[in-house]
Amino acid sequence: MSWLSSFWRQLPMRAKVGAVLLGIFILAAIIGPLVASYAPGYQNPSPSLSLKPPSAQYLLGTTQTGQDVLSQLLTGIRLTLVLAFLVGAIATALSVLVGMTSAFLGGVWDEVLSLITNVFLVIPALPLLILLLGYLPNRGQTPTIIVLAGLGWQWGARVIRAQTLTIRNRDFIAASRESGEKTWRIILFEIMPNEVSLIAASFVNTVLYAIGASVALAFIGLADLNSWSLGTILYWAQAGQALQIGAWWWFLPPGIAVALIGTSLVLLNTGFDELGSPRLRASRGSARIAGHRVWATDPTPVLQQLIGSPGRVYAFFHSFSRSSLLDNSTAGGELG
Amino acid sequence: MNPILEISDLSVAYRSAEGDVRAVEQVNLSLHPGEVVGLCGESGSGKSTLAYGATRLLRPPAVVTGGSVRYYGNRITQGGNPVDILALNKKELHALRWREIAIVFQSAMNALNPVLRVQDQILDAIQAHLKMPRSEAKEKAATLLDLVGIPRARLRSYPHELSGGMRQRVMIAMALAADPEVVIMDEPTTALDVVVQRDILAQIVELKQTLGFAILFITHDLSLLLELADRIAVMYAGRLLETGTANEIMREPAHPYTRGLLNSFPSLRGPRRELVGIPGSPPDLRDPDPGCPFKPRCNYALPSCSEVDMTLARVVGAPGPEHLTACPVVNRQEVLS
Repeated sequence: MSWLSSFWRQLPMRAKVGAVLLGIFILAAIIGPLVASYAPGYQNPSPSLSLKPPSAQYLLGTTQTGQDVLSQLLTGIRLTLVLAFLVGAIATALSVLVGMTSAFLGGVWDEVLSLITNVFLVIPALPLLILLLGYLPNRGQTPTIIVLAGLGWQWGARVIRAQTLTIRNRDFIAASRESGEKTWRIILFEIMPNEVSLIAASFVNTVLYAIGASVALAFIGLADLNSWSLGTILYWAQAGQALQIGAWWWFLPPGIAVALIGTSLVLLNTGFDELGSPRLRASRGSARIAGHRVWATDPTPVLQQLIGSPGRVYAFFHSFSRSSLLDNSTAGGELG
Repeated sequence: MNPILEISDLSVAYRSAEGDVRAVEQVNLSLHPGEVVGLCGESGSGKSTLAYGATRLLRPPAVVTGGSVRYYGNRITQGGNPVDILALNKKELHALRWREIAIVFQSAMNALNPVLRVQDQILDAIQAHLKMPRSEAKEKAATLLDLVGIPRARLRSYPHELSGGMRQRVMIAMALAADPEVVIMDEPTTALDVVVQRDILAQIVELKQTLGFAILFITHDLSLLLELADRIAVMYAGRLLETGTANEIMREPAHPYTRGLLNSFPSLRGPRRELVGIPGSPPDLRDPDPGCPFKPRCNYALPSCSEVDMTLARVVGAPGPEHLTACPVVNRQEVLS
C-alpha cells in the first residue's frame, strides 16, 4: 500500500482532482440505486406533485409525471458508467491486440491489420451507430456495447502500433531476444510496461467517447427507454419539453453529471504520463523548498533568499497594502 | 590582484526525504583572471555540484544553503562592486551566463543537438548573447572554428559527421562564442583517448593565452591537472582538503588524501615502485561525522581529527602563501613519511 500512497503524492494536482471526482461518481454508481428514496420510474399519481422545483422532499424536483429526478439520477449513473467502462475495456483490449500484433509481427500481418485500422479510422462513427442501432431489433445494453466497442478501438490501435514499432527496435528488446526470451514474454514483460501510460490513456479516452456516444444515442431514443441512464433521463426531459416549460431541474442535473464525468476523465488522463515513465516522474516540475515552490527551469534556489522573501501569492496581495510603500522606500536607500 | 570569481563558504545540498545530502560544504575557492584552476576529486566528491551550484545551474531538489559567489568581471560591474551570483534574478543570470561565465559540458555527444548543423548551433549561442547581424555572426562562427582548429567547411556538418575530438572542440568553440571571462570545463576530455586529449589541452592553453579567460577545470584525473593547471584544489566528500600551485601539489603534497591520489598512478621516470591505492570508500554525505571526512580512511588520523573545523590554513613550512590545507596533522608539522 505504501507504493500506492507514494504514487498518489507524486500525482499532479489536476489528476488528483480528476480521481476524486471520478471516485464520487463511481461511488454513486455503486450505492446510488440503494439510497435512492423512490423507484426512478414511480409516477406519483397526485397531479400536484408533477413538475415540482427542488424542495426538501424532492431534492432535485420532479418530472412531468411526478417522478423524482434525484432517484433517476442516482439510478442512471450506474448504467451509463457500467456501459462506458465495459466499452472502454473491450475497445482497449482490441486496440492493444491489433496494435501490438501488427507492429510486432510486421510484414503481411502489419499490412492487413493496418489496412483494417485505417478503414475503421475513416468510418464516421456516430451516423453508423445510429444506422446500426436503428435497425437492430433488440435495443438493449449489449448491442450498444458491442457496436460502440467495435467502432472505438482504431485510434488506440494506431498509436500503440507506432509506439510498439519504436520500442521493438531498441537494444533492450534485441538483448532479451538474444537471451532467449519467448515472444509472448517479450511482448508482455518488456514492451507492455513501456506502454502502460499509453494504454491507460487510451482506455480513459475510449471511456470518455463511450459516455458521450451512449448519452447521445439515448437522447435521440436509440436505447432501451425502459431502463434508466443519464441519456434516457435527458430523452424523457426532452420529450416532456422540459426546456420549453423552464423545468431546469429536470435536464440540468443529468447534463452536469455527464459534463463532470467527462471532466474527471480528462483530468485523470494528465496523471498517466507519469505512470509509465519513472524519469518523467522524477524530473517533473517542481520541488518545495523552505515553503516555496521551485520549478526545474528556475535557477538553483538559494536558501537565504527563499527564507527572506515572501511567497509569490503573498507578495501579490502585499503589493496592494499600505505597508508595501515602506518596502520600496528601503529599497531606494540612496535617496535618503 | 582581484580575483574574477570568488566562491566563499559555499554550501550546496540535495533535499531528499531522508534529509539533506550535503554535497558541497563551506567551500572557498577563487579564480584569478587568466588563471587555470583545477578542481579534482573522485566521483561524487561534489566537484561538479560546486561548479554548477556556483553558477546556479542545478535543478531542484538541489539548493544553495549558504555562502556567496562574487563575480568581478568588468563588463558587469563597470569597475564597481562585485555582483553576488546567488542574489541575481533570472534575467540577470541570463545576462551573466555564457557572456561572462561559459561552460564546456561533459559529454559533447549529448550536448550537441544531433539534428542541427554545427553552424546553426554556434549561431544560436552567438545570437542569444550578442547583438550582431547574421552575416557577421556567421563570420564569427567561422572564426571560432578556426580558433579551435577545425576547417571552416565543417560548419555545414551535422554532429554525427564529426569525430569525438572534433565535437569536443566544437563545444569549446561554442563556449568561447561570447568572449567569456570565465570558462568552466567539466571533464571536457574524459571520453577521449590520450592523444586527442593532449591535442585539446594544448589548444585550450593556447586559447587561454590569446583570449585571456580564466578556466575552472573539473576532472578526476590529477595527473592531467599537474600538467595543465596553475593552481589545484583537491576535493573530497564535499570539502576542499588542499589547495596549492600545481608544483606544490606535485612535489610536496600536504594532505594524506592528496598523497594517496599521487601514489595511485605510476610516474614515468625513476625506479619502479608498488602503486598504493586508498583503501575504503567515501562517507555518506547525508549524515556526515564531524571533523575531517577523510578520517576513516586516513593512515595518520588522530583523535583530534574528529574535531577539526576543516578551514584551510597555510601549510607549515610551505614556501608559498597559497599552499593551504585543512589537515590538522600536517599543520601541526608532524613528520609524515
